Parts: sequence; C-alpha cells; structure tokens
Amino acid sequence: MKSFNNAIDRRTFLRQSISASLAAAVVAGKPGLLLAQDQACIPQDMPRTLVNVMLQGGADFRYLFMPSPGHPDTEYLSLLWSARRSLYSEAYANYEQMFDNEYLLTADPLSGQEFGIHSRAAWLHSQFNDGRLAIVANAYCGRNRRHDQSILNADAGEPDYAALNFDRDGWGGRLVEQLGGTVNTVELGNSVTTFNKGTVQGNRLARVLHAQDMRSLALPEAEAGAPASRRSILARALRAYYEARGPEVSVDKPGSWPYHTFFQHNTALRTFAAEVDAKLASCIPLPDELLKLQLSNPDFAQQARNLFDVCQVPSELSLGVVSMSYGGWDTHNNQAAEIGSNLADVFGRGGGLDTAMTAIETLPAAEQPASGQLVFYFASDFGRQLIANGAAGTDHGSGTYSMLLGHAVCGGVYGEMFPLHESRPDSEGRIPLQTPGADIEGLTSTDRILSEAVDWVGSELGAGVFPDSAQGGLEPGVSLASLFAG
Amino acid sequence: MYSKLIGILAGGALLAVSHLLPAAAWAQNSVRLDGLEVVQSSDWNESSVRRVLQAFAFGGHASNKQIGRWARLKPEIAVVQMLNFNAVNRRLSAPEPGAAVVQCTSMTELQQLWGSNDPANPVRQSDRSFYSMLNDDLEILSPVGLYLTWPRAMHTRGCNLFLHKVAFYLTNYHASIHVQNAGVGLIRDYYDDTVKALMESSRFEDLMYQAATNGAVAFAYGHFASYVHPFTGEFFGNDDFAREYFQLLFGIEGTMEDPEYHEGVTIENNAKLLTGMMVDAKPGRFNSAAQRDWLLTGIDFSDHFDEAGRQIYNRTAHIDFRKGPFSCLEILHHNICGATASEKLRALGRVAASHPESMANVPLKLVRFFGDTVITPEEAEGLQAAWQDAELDILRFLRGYAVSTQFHTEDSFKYWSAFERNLIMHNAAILDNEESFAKPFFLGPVVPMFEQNALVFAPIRDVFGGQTGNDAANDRFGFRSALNQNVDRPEALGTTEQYYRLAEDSAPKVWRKDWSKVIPANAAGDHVVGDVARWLWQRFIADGGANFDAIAQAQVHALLATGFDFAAVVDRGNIDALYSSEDLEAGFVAEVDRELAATVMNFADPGEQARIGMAVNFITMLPYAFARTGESK
Repeated sequence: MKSFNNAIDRRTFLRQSISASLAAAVVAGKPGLLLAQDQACIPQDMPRTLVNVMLQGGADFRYLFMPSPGHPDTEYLSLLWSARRSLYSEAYANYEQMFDNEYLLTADPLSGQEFGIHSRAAWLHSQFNDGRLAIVANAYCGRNRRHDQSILNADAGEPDYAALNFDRDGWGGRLVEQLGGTVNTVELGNSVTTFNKGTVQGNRLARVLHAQDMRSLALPEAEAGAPASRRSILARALRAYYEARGPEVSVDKPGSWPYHTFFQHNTALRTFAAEVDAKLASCIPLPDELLKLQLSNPDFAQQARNLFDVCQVPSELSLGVVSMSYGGWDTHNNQAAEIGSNLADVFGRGGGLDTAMTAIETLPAAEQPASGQLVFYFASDFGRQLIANGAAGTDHGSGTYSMLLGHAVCGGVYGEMFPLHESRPDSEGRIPLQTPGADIEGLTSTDRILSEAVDWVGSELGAGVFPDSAQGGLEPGVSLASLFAG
Repeated sequence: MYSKLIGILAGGALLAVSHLLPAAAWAQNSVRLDGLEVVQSSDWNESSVRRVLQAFAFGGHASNKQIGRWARLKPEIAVVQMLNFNAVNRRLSAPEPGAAVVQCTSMTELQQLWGSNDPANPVRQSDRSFYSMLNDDLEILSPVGLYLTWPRAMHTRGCNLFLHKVAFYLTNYHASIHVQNAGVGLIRDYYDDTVKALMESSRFEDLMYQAATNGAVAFAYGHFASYVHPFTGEFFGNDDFAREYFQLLFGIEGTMEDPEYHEGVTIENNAKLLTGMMVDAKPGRFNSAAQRDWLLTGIDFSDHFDEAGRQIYNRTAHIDFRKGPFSCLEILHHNICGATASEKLRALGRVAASHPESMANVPLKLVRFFGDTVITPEEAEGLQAAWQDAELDILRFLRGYAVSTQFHTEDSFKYWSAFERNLIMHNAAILDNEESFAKPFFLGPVVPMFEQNALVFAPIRDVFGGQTGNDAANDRFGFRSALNQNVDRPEALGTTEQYYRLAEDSAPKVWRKDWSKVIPANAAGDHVVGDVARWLWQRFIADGGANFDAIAQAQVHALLATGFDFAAVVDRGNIDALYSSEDLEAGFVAEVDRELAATVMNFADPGEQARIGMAVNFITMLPYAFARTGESK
C-alpha cells in the first residue's frame, strides 16, 4: 500500500511533468489534418445517384394531382368532386372555380391529357413541364394500410413482404452492395432507416454514412496547441480506446456482440468524416439561399443543405445512393392546411428541393455535373382513400402515384392518371367514388419502377436489387422501359 | 418501563413477522409467472439489481447500501420493493428535505413550482423562467418548460422513476401522441392522467381505457369532433384512431383474419364508436390567452354545458344514442354495447385486450421497450405465457420479467435510447438534488438528449412512438453527438462546483461535488485508484466489470491518478500511441498501469474530484454505455 504523501508526490510529479512537455510534443508529433492546399475543392464527377425521398405518413397524391375541368368524362369529374369536395374551401362554387384557384394546369406530353398539379407544388409543376418528372399512376408499395408495415415495405422495396421485422436490408443498402467497392448510402435525415441497411446481419450499417449535418461530421479531436486541455485529454483517451480495442473485439467477440455497432460508428466517422469536413471547408460555402432557407419543417431545410454539400464531395463519400425524408403526411384532419405546407416545403417554388437544385446547378461543372446525375424517387407509406372523411381529411388507402424526377427521366404519365373505373359500378355494383373505404387500385408495384431506376444507375443492376420485380404488378398497357432516356 | 418497552417491541415484531410472511409469500407468487423462470438466488447479485434499475427506472437513485440489500434478498422479494407504482418509492429514490415539496406525480405541479418564485422552489433562480408555464410574449402555454420539466423530474430524487418510465412508455411509445397535435396543456395532462391511472390500477385494459378516453388523444387524432347526425344517422369523422386503437394500443393488426372484415367492419364501426367525445374547455386555464390551452383531458360523455358555456352533445352525437345502453356495434366479431363512447370503450377494451393478436403482441412490445432488442420465438412464447399468467397486469408482468432468466441471460441485450442512456448516466453522476438544481438546465440530460434526437412528448414517429434503442444504435450522427458532448462539454457529467442563487436578492450559494459521500474507502481509509475505477465502472456500466478490459482500465486509472490520458502518462513524446491488451499484460506499460492503479487519491482536493468527472466522461462514452447486456462477472 502506498502512503498518502507518496501518492501526492507521484501525482504532482506526473501532472507537472506531463503538462510541461505536452505542448511541444504534440504539435511536432501529430500528423494532423491535411493541409488546406491538399484539400483544394476541384469539381468532381458525380456518379448517377438515386435520391430516395420518403414522405412518411401516407401522402395523398390524389390531392396533388387532379383532373382538369375539361376532363372528357363529366360523370367522373362530378363524382370525384362530390367525394373530395370537403377537402377544399367551402367558398368554391364548383369544381372549375376550385381548380382555377388551387391547381396549375399542365398536360401529359405522352398522351396530351390535361390535369392540374397543386399550386403549392409550383416547382414540381415546372419540372413536369420541363419533361423531368415521370408520374407512375396506380402504384403500390405494400398491400396493407398500416404505417409501420407499409414504410417497411417501401424501404425494403418489397411490396409483398408481410413480416414486421426491421432487422433486415433495404433497397438502398442492397443497391450499394450491388454497386460494389466501398460505395455508401448517405442518409441526410435524422435517423438511419431500413432503407439504408445492408444484407449482412450484425453489420447492416457497414455502408451507411449518416450525414445529418454535412458541415459537422467529424469526431472531436485533441485541440491543436492545447494538448493538456480537458477536451484534448478526453478526445485522445477515447480515440485511443476505440482504436486499440476495436481490432481486438472484432476478432475476440462473436458477430452478434451488440457493442460492435459502436466500434463501427467510431471507425466509420474517423475514416472519412475529418476528410469530408476539411474538404468542404475548402469548397463553396453554403449559398445564402440555402443558409437562410426557412421551411415549416426545419429538418428538411437542413437536408436540402446537406444535399448541396453531398454534391461537392461525392468521391469522399463514395456516394452510391442518398436518403431523405419528410414526415407529416398522415392527413386525417384539415388536409388542405397540413398538406399545403408539406407540398410547399418539398415541391414548392423556393422549397427545399427547388432551392437545393438551383444551388447545385451553380456548382462548378466537372464532366458530369451533379444536377444532371441526380434522380429523385418520391415514396410514401401508401395512398389515401378516394372519399374525404368527415374531418376534412382522408383516411389510409393503398394505391398511389410514384414519382421520379431528374434530367435523366423521360417525363410524362405512366398509367391511367384518373382511372374511369373509379366512377363505374364494380362487380358488386359499388362505385368506388361513392364507397367509403375505397381507394386507388394499386396495379404497378414500386419494386418494378425502382428496378428501372436502378438499371439507370448501373446496367442490369435492377434485378439484383429487386429480385422479385419481374413478378411485380404492372398496369395493363403500361411500359416502364422508357422511364429513362438511357 | 424499559422491559415493558422491549416486550411491546418484541410483540410488535412478532406480529409484524406473522404479517410479513404471507406478504412475502404472496410477493414471490405474484412475481413467478408461467413461461418465465426466476433467476436463481445464486445468480442474483449487485449487477443484477443495477441491471434491473437501469432498464426499468433510468438507473434509480438507490444507495449502495440499498442495492446491496436487494442483492441479498430473494429476487422475487427485491423486485417488489424496487418496482412499484407508489407515488414515492423511498428505497428506489428517496425524497430529500427541501427539494421536493410536491409529490412527484404531476408534471403540471412540478413545472408550476419550478417556474415560480415560491420559497420552496429548489431550482436556481436564473433557470426558473425556462420552466414558466406561459410564453411571456404570447401569453400561451410554452413547450419549453414542458420539455425541461420531465427530464429534470427524471433525475430528481423523490420521483418514482419506475412509475415514470412506465408512464413515459405509455404516453410516448405505446399510446403515443405528439405535442404538435395535442398541444402543450393537453399532453402534459395526458401524462399526469397516465401516472394517476398507473397508481390506481396496473391492469392493461384499465390503462388502455384511460388512454382511449383521454381528451388529449381525442384531440390529437381529431375524433373529438366525430359525430353521428342524430336524425340522418350519417357519420362525420375520420377512422384514424379507430385503426390505431387496435394496432397501437392493443397490438391488433388484423392479420389473423379476413382483411376486408378488419377494414370494413371492425375499423369502420370503431370510427362510429368514437363519436360524442368532444373535449370541454375551461376559459382562462393556466392564464393562457389561447383557447387551445383551455382544453381538458377528462371527457364528460353526457350532453352538457362546459365552463366555456358551449353546449356539448356527447350523448346525442354518439351513434344510435336513442338506444341508450342497447346501442351496439359489431367490432372484432363482438357486439359492443353502451350508451356512450365511454361505455363502449370499456366493453371493447375487454375484448381487445384478450384478443389473440393482442395477447401475442403486447408483451413483446413491453419487452422490446424495457428489456430486450431481439426476442427469439422461444422467448416470445414464454413472454406470451407470462402475460396471460399475469392476467394482463403490467406491474406483475414487468416484475416477473425483471427477475427472469430471460432478462438476465448473458446474451440478452438492449440498446439504450438517448433518453435512457442520458438519464441513466446523469442519475449515476448526480449525487443529490442540490447538485441537480444548482446546475443550469443545459448541464443536465435534456440538451444531449435533444441533440441525439430524443425530445419528450415529440416522438420521432408521432403515434408510432419515440426514438427506440435500435434507432439510437443505428444513429451514427447520434453517436458523434454523444462523443462531442462528453469531450466538448465534460462539465455536464463532471463539474465539481456550482455557484447559484435561490432568489435574485439572496446571497450566492455554492454546491461542491463530494464523491467521498458515495465511493467507499478501503479498510485503511484510502481511496485507491484501482478500487475507485472498479466502483465507477459498476455504478455506470453495471456489468460487474465484464467489459472493463485492460485498455479501458488503463485509461481510467490514468485519468483518476493524473488527470491525463494513458498515452500521455506513458510517453509524453508520443501521446497518440495506442496500447493493446497485450501491451498491458507485462513490461513497462503494464508496470505504469499498475502504478497508476495503486495511487491513493485525495478526495479533499477539488482537482481530484474533477478527475473523477473526467473518468466518468470517459466511461460513459464507451460502447458499454450504449446498451445493456446480461454479461456479468
């Protein structure tokens, strides 16, 4: 047993000797970050990249798209208006007046059919007019009306998956595995979802980069010039622990050991994050439009900023696929107010994507400018019922519209935009637009649509990511082969 | 006189024993459940006790002595003392004089006190405005105080943290609503109502009835406005809660029967059941100018005038009101009857709770939240049998599970949510209420929780609940944020003194940390680094040192003995050196570690108190602070 006084002597000695000598030693000895000139931000080639935008809650895209007052089937229009009248202001005397106030007219370049896109989604409207938006009507991503199960179906890219097991792979995770190498999924939202997860049980996050704030990814390091500060001491102690113990537990502990996850986090963040942070510091700063972007949903504004930065450093990120999200589409009540602000945030003029894409267009162009290499896919849990409920909202349905947006997309409508059978008696004599609970009939499976999108990313990859897609539903008379220009 | 007193005491003791025996036997029997095996007494130790406290009570505030006592009791007896729904559980978290003058069962009362200048308010003066009920400028209820009050309560001694963790589960996960949809006043009342309901009954169907008839839930889902036209019989409303009532409250997804029946009959009729549920308003409530803040959670199901003078037709707006108690709807293949939504919900709750899907799913939902991230099919069967044997009583079930081999087995594990991890760590780090109240709120758990995507009453999945342990574990950015917190703001867990005032014109007070109050000295009266390190590890990680590997030990020893990291101690010319377990087995490096471990600390030195804080920050950022397992030495 050491005596108390001896202990003090040793402590004093240790502290004094360490403090006195640390400052000099650390600056000379530490390799540190790369110098700024090594990190010059030269324009990079952007790979073809899918951006999965998950609109959680079950978006009512029938509200986003409505037939023009000139729709040839007046019976259909009349029934649709009756079914959904309560979603709109009581001040509207008729459908035409409502449409004129609420919707922006457009026409499908493939069929010539006119329809409206809600005016809160003015940017989306312009994209459609520019031929960059493909709308696949009567799509389905699941076979149920439950949020959790349907979101899992959407994330997994398996409409027929019936188990409620979140410890599984998602289509984003499968895509980066198919792309091979060290390619990653990059999650821009608050949480890493099933979409990102890979197929290796126990290590599903191996290819996931969580970039909730692209300008602040790195783990804290010891402070240059202050090696004896509390911050520096703790930063070094933790780094030393994770880096020394990590390789040991990867050998000693079974794959199911739950703590592996945190060693993996540490490794992943230390491997690339400091490099990305340093690189971005030498790149174009966030434009004012993005910095000052204010949306009803501030998280989505941050995701828009992150997307801009992702496009500046795709190589550092080993970019494979991007994940974004926006919640709040479960519009059982007062749909007009709720969905209106959502539409404006995501699809509106000056909204998150408009602002981000406008800024991305200004990035110095490499051979493959980023703006031309992104394709957005908009997913949601499910569609909603055709008839408005008694609370000026809509209840859970199934079929919906899928949307793909980007320079590479062949814009237009794929499928019957407003199916006439909704206004005709079915085999039991019920007219869907007059039948409570009726919804858009899901005919085209989303894995089929996504398989085409993945084929655009890499030739013939779709079947690997969506092995069941060939058996997925497809609306009669519709071909998805021309969704992409090539 | 003296002998008489002894006689009385002895007689009293005998009497007490005669009463205690059956009580103890009852306690044991009530905890033993079909499908679950109680852990052997020989496997029940301090780590087991701490494991239960961490999982079920955010770590609790039990003293070392109390934890030792529980470890020596039979697990069935100990768990009954550890986990109950009493307003105060002194063994788990004893109130401290002067710090909790109101019972810690109402967030409203706590917030009213903590935001006031009441002389009994223990909150530092400069923080009180953050707890105000109202946003000063707008004269409406402020969510800020709500967001701060609950986390503060969860690290305040005197609060029954098991009671609150279950209430938190019910309101933020199981029957979850979001403050954005319910409003500040309603959601706070909903939480308080849930605490009260738990204190009154732990029967699942009673608790679900409370949730289903709560005005906050009705308002958040919007069915408070649903009605059936008394003359035309036409239904006006939505089917949102009609669906989630089954799926979320009872775990009934309708997958075991014809989906068309579930959609078209069960859900549609339940939507009609949920009519006549308008919430009352009390003008001027909380002195708020916003009418939304005046709403009350307790629904009066009669036709009446509320205090705002509004005529409420909750009886006549209900479906088939003229039939009175014979108004019936077919739901889940049963005839659900009652004159009001309340009566029908009482009847439906009984049916739903005993539905096979509910019996299968509810116990798994509970265990996924409290105990185990991965449940094998065999474990699921055991839990389902236990749920049935517990007769759907949450308290009995959770107690039985908490002392089961299934919970304590080595390969069971649960990732902590950011709520759990931060509260567990703060409850272990904060030694008394003065420390908690003297510190500004931003040194408490609420800021790191928020930065790691865990905000109470704002569940990330809305009605599907808050951040789960899985979410937190998958959240690489959350991991980064946690590391940032410990490195950049080590004072949150490691500060050693705090100056504060209890009134603007009062003299400043100072609180100083004194770890010697809780860290035991050895037989010689010394606090030796190696012993202190093991004690800290057990207090924060609670695995009996199973994961306290040589590398972690070396760092903790260095931080405690010198305030520096291990590499800086070994070779100040190479402070980024890594030392492996093998390096620490023998040779110079191992010798340095042994020397550090043998150092005697001087707890009278504030600098050494600060070193303990450094060690705490290090330990709580290791992987073992992010999940619990059944691993134990």
